[in-house]
Amino acid sequence: MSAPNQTTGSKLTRRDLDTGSVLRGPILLFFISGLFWLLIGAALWLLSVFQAVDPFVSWVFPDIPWLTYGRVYPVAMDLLVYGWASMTGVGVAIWILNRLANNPFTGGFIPLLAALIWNVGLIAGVWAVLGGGSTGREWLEFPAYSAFLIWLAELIMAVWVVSLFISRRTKGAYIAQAFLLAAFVSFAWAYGAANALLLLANVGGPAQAAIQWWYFGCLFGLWLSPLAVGIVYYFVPLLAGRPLYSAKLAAISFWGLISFGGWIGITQVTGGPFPVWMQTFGIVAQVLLVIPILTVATNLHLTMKGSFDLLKTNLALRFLVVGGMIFGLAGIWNALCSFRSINWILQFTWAQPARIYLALIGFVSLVCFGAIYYILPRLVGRDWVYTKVIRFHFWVTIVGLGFVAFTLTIAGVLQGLGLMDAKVPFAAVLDLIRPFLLGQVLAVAIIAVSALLGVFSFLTVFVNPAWAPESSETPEPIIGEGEVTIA
Amino acid sequence: MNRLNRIVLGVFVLFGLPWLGLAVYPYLTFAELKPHTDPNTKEVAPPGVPGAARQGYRIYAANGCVYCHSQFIRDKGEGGDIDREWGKRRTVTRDYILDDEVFLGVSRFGPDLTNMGVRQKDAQWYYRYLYDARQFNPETVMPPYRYLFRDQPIAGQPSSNALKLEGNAAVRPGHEIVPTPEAEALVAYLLSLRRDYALPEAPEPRE
Repeated sequence: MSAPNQTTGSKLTRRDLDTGSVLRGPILLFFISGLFWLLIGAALWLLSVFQAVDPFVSWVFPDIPWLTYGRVYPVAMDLLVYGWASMTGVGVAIWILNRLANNPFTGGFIPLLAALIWNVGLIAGVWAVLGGGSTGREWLEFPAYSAFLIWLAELIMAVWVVSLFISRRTKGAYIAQAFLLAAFVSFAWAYGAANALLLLANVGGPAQAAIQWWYFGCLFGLWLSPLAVGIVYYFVPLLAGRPLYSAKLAAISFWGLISFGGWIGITQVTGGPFPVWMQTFGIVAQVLLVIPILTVATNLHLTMKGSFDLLKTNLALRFLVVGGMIFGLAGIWNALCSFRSINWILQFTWAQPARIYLALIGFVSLVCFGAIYYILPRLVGRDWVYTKVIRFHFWVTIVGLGFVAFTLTIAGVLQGLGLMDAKVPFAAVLDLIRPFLLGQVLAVAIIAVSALLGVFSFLTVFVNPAWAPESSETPEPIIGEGEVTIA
Repeated sequence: MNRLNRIVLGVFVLFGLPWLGLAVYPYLTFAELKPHTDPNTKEVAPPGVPGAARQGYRIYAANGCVYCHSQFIRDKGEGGDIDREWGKRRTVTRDYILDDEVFLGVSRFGPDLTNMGVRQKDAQWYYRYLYDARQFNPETVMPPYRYLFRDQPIAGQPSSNALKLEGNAAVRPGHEIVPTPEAEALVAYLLSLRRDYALPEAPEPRE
């Protein structure tokens, strides 16, 4: 038997749920939207890091109000989170949940509608923030009309995945299903509740900040993390061709992530105007979060043990496993940074966004790309040809990510120590970190190139030769052996 | 199916706890905080935001000032905030109860602005800084906000709030740079940023 391709390892079967599925359109639309927003987001991010080095040179557009740093940077981050990571993750989740439900669900127009609404919401939001209509709250910049559309799309998707789950033809629940369903429900709840309180209810000043940072914890701890962990838990056993090492560990990681994920946001504003117990809860949760995160990493490691050679040939698996490892790294680093003694130094510095980039580009992005590299050939019935581009894409991403994390963390330590010492003038602190901000430009440029490579290899599949269906082979079972039930 | 129901219930409870603790609790309790009246001087703290500044926070939000400037002071020993004289004491919940919108911020790429209106009281200084911060610090990374100003020919008397610019930012002869209403609102807001009153729950730390 010749494997249909090296890149993704497993053979093409389950065609009823892939190329023949009514969900092919919506999944592709989510992927294409995600990649489109990745490109725009990366371009704006690159512009913003140039502006952070010198905001006066003419080619960073100092006199165009809608391209000022304070508008470009939030739009870049919002697009990477709500456009790229979220939409692509939703596409992958639809595909996984459809398979695990073993049900060629016919409501395909519903996710299609959600993708359209989501995109309209994002366009409206970008337009508003660049035009000067931002709410001025980090991660919740979009004004009411745009936030409402995005929330509506999230809500439609949450209801849709729950109904897909209820109408499943399988018994019990799989671990990936648990993560993904919890993520969808949490996201719709958190985004809706935060925006409703901040934009509709007349909430007083200090409570606004509490709600805003509670939401931030949910965004990363209860949406992006469980979404990506669910994807990893589904694919790694499947691509490694062996069952997940431990269902118990998987259950621990699920309950741990859900228990602590919602508390961590407030650690961003430690020392802020909130009761001390709220801040302490945040720190304790951030530290305890290490348990589920390391449980995920351990479980993946033990599942892969003895077959790490697969990472050389199976590129989809490589993206997924390395993404999972970076998740473990980011978890430990976040816990360390939440300790008050370290936090007093690193708070307000460039080391803070470095943590976010590590989770976003290192974990969620890699996992999404790994999943795309597996799913896309099955979805369009065409093979990868340019595996070299995929290999290159992987290494460029790793180099860019490592470089941005490294330069910003060093910059953050220097900046933090400088700010601690009142004898160091503020301007001298900026002089100290200037070389690292130049380094950030290079690092983000590399990440932007990796985004281009990802989009390029995505597009090549559509012109590649068709993938001959192997009708003679025994079809893969719908539920792979790697999938673990938890209920 | 019993275990499944337990999972669904568990997720809702576990999601609900931080929601109650970090969002609903502050929503309910912070609303009950009232300004403090000093029993001796009868001074009310916080004093409230003057009318001219009430629109300025929107300009602050629109132009993303929060991505480089924080607006809270950590206690003595928690970083260098008080040593740097960004504030004489830590800020507490009550400092913000009269604010239309609170911009705590998570970055200090620029200095903290909690007490900006105490440090600098000259509106002209703000206009010039916003127009071209290089006049004050050649190495600055603060973007120019020239779009918040208007270049106009001088008609009769020069405008009273026209910018006094020198060097490479100098204006064409016969012209003047004046702040737009947005710039005026923003500067009124920045001037209103002062938390230098006393609150019983946040005494000034002793040396």
